[in-house]
Amino acid sequence: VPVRHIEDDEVLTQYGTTDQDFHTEPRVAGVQGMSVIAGGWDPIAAGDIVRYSGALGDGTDAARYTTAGTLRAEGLEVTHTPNRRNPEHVRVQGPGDWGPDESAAFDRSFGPIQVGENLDDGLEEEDDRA
Amino acid sequence: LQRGAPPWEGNAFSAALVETYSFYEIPLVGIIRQGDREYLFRCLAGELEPMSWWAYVAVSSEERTALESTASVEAFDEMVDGLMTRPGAVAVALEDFGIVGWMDEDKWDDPQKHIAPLLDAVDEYLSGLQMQAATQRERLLVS
Repeated sequence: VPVRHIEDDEVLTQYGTTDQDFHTEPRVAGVQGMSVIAGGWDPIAAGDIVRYSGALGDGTDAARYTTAGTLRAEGLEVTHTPNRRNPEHVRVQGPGDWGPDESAAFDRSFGPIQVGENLDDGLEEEDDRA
Repeated sequence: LQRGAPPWEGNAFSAALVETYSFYEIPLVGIIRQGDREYLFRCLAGELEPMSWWAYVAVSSEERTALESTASVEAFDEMVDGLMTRPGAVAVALEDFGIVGWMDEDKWDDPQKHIAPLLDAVDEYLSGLQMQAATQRERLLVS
């Protein structure tokens, strides 16, 4: 997948769940930066991208949104880093090592959390109608 | 596999991550090389969570080439699904520790059969930590 420039007005999605706080710092030593997805994906669609087996679909999938320009205004770097299963993967890095300041800047760049629907409820409603 | 190794390495001493096909905060699908053999791994569940489940199968260099030649995400997933039906292993991992336990898998006929014994391995690991904490509490706080 060709790497492209992420424009300032591009919406970026961070996928998470309602079971835990949205991640604001790298989870693994040696990995610098955070993962987000280029585009404004609803929580279920974002879960389908991140999770090989698909979104949880139990009402806990969640997503929050920002723009590349907002992150850059906070001093963070936004780079398109596609991979085979996620061509829209974007890495957000600090100018140096990621630390508490970068975590805070990353966190305040995002808008409110949206929660995905419970797909099981939908199935049950369909069953009820049947 | 090795207890304590990152699940995307499999064994910190004898194996290495050589290709990542899916990445979101951590490598989720990729290739591990151990000696002259290569293994396809993928995260089965827990991609964002502190506890995660992983599958491993051996692949040939021809299969790896074919995997990397797939023209779409759908075709890639389909091929991974096909490869993941062969004998391999299932592992459970904890963030900040790595692989806690694993079991060989011959048929992939009932993924749930590994859940209880591997959760027992997680319980055992966590119980060990609690015992250590209790022991050190006694040693360090009493004095």
